[in-house]
Amino acid sequence: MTPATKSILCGEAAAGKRTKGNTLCLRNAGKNPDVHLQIDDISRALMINPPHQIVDLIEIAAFVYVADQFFPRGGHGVEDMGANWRRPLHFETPVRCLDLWRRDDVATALRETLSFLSEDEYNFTFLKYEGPPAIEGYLNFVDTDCTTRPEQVVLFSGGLDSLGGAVSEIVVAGRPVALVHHQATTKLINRHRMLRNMLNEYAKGPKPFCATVRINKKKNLNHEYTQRARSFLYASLAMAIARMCGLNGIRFYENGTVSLNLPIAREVVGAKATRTTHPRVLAGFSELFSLLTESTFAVENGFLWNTKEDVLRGILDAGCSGMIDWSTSCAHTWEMTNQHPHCGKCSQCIDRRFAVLAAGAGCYERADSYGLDLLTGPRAEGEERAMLASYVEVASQVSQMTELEFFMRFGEVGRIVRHLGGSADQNARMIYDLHRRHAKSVLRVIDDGLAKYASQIRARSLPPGCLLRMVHDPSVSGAIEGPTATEAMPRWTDEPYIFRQKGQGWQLRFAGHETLWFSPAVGHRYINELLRFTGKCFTLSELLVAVHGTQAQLPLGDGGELLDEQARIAYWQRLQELNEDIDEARKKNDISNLARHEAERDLVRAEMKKAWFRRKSKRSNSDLNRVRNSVCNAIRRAIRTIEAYEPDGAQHLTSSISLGFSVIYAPAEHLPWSL
Amino acid sequence: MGHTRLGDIPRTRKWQEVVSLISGGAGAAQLANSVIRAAEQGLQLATEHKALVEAFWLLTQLPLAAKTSDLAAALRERGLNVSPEPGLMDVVAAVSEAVDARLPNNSGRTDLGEMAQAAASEAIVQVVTERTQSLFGTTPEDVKAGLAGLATVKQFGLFAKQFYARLTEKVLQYYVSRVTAGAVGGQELRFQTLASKAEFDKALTLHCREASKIVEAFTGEWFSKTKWVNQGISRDDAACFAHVAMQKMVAELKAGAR
Repeated sequence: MTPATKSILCGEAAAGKRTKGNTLCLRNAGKNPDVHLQIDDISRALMINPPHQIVDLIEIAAFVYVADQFFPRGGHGVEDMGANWRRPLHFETPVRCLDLWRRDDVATALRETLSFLSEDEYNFTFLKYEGPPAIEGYLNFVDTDCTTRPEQVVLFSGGLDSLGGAVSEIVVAGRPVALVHHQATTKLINRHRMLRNMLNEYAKGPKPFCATVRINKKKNLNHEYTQRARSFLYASLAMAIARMCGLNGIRFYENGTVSLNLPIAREVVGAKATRTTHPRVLAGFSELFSLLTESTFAVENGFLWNTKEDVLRGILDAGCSGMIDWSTSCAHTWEMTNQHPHCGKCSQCIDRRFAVLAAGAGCYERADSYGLDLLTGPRAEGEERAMLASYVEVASQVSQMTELEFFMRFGEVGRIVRHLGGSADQNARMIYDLHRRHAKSVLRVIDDGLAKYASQIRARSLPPGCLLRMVHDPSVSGAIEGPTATEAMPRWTDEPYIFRQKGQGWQLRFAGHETLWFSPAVGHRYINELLRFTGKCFTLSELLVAVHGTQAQLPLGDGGELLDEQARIAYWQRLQELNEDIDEARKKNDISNLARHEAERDLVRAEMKKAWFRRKSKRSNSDLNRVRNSVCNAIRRAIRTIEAYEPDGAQHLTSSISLGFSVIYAPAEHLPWSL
Repeated sequence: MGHTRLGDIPRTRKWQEVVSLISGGAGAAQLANSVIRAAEQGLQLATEHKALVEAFWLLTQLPLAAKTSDLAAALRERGLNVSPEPGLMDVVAAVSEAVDARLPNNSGRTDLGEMAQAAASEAIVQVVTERTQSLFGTTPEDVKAGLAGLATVKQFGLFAKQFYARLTEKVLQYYVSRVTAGAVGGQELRFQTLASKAEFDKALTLHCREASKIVEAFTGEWFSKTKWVNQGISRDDAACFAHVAMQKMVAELKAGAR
């Protein structure tokens, strides 16, 4: 079923309307705006006001950013194959340059880029602004000591990759740079300030100029955490700053494996692997921004062909190792503390720690920076463990893949190879090389960890659920790798008929077919007991005691007659009274009393009919009956479950087990059950 | 900015049965059976997944285009934007982009469609590389010869089998991996080490390949007959076939553990 379209009324289009159901009203001006955008520290000396179409762009980007976080995506798509993950969004937004935004090429570039970025369906209706907010409301001009006009605009999140980019631009190349930084949480203010101070200190050329962007939105607008469209806002803001500096390009810095973001697990389909700096997205930004500026506008990723380890090595080579500890990569900012700025559980923490250890930069990070140690931290069952297991498993597979195997595993590459310039074949080869280098880097860290913790591994003192025990668990008998899935369910056993308990569940094999496993159910226990004594006629009590032992609840008799003699007489008397009342009401033509008495008479008759059968008083449902139903239904349910996977076996059990107050398994032909 | 989140599995009875089978130690075939039963409703309506239909239709068009004198022109006629002398990765990218173009603005896109799109790319890489003996540096002539060779009953059957084997594996793992990856490490869990989980994944892949033989058996004949009777294969033909093929795959997987 197609999800309902979500309407987003923006700015003046929201005047006099309220957010309700699938309609979101976003005001960006007035006394109490829903969303407010502020770019701080704009240098008065170096920058000019951006043109109107660029102001339109950052307003649209802010509306998209908020709407993306307002409408929930409808779960992980198990039941609907992700149909609700993709939301139809319709924006009604006023703009200053109506003719430009209504142009086919501009509207198409905007729609296609956004729809690939967040996998939503975008539609825009543009209206002419009647009283547009002043641009000065968004910009906070200050007098800075920067005197050199920036030559490059770099997006700076304060993570390792963007730090590596800043270092390569400011420290290595000595280029005048404008850093555009989005302040998402106040928790990071001090750490970012420290990084900026250190970049100022290490800068070979002019000190970098840093513009901080703040987006304040009402708290009740946060419902969806995925934020797949956020890079559109960051890119738009960076583009606005670039144009204010007279530049025609912006640069992201994100390592290639994360930028291409091939899925680390099979359930990660489409944009569930985030596409924030996917080459096709950057090409889309570039096309849109070029149309808006009527010139060629470049949007690049400076680290597309670098692994995160390469980025780390670049920082170390530039002599900036002291900055590593101040950078923050964690996505779980709500878990962040001064002692543990990284949770150690999210994909970004895992990626970062592997890169830091692979580059030999572990000594530049505090050992307790991570809430959970990468190699030896005990991870809880479920997503925490799944994230790390998936990450390592993909690296392990890629490290052993030939080129052909790699492209036979990651069909998503087809969406990348033609957005990188150069030939598709050449790009494909470079993508393969990049991922191989990344995989080897991950495995090297694990190998070093196994060597470092060899004594603890031998002594089995590492906690269960830690990475090193997932890779190598000495408590698994026999070998490093432990029993395999196929070994756990042997086909080649010489026991053709099996029905026995395995773990908490039940193992079944019939006529040498595939061995099956069933969830624990009492019906299986009854069947197992019947198979154990072929031909024996069990009374219900015998079967219950055999299966439940002292816990068996044996039938104690019945609940007696449903109606006793006294009640029976009372019913008869009342019936006679009612018959008399009805006759009288008929005589008097008293319709209302007639109906009331007839209704009561019907009720009494029904009760009497229920309590007597052929002039004999019925007995209430007996305990014995209840127990018989309970046992027989449990056996029937178990056979039905078996039927879904082993119809021959189910057929045999149905025809061989006779149910009732006594139960017996009597097959036409003896089968050698292993029980 | 590349944060990834993993999915979870609903707490409904049918999906918890799948979870208990995984943790209990069920084999690949039984697990495939239980997953398919739980997900059956979404899979039966294959024609509603436009990307699946388009991906399969494009696979039928590749051998037909390769039989013409000008491969690039024939591909472009079918909506595949390729260079005048297309290499293998060029064709793969063009197929992926053509599927995207069929779903402008994500209208009608589903996860099954996404998986079909990736499975089509992977199947093309495998089948053409097997014929040309080389992945990179294939000349346009190699690609043309490799694709043209798929136009026979037997070879197109094998091609479709590859596609459906990959698609089926993706679909099963789409559900199963939500549980298996978190069930690694520890005596009480299904997989004590990553290696044992990898073995299980291999068993599931093998099972999907086995199950997809059912498609191989009739796809080649359908391809040959349809192109001859209808003078080509339309998207409607492909949609009907995709629906039937998915039903057969579902039935086969449900019977697989027997």
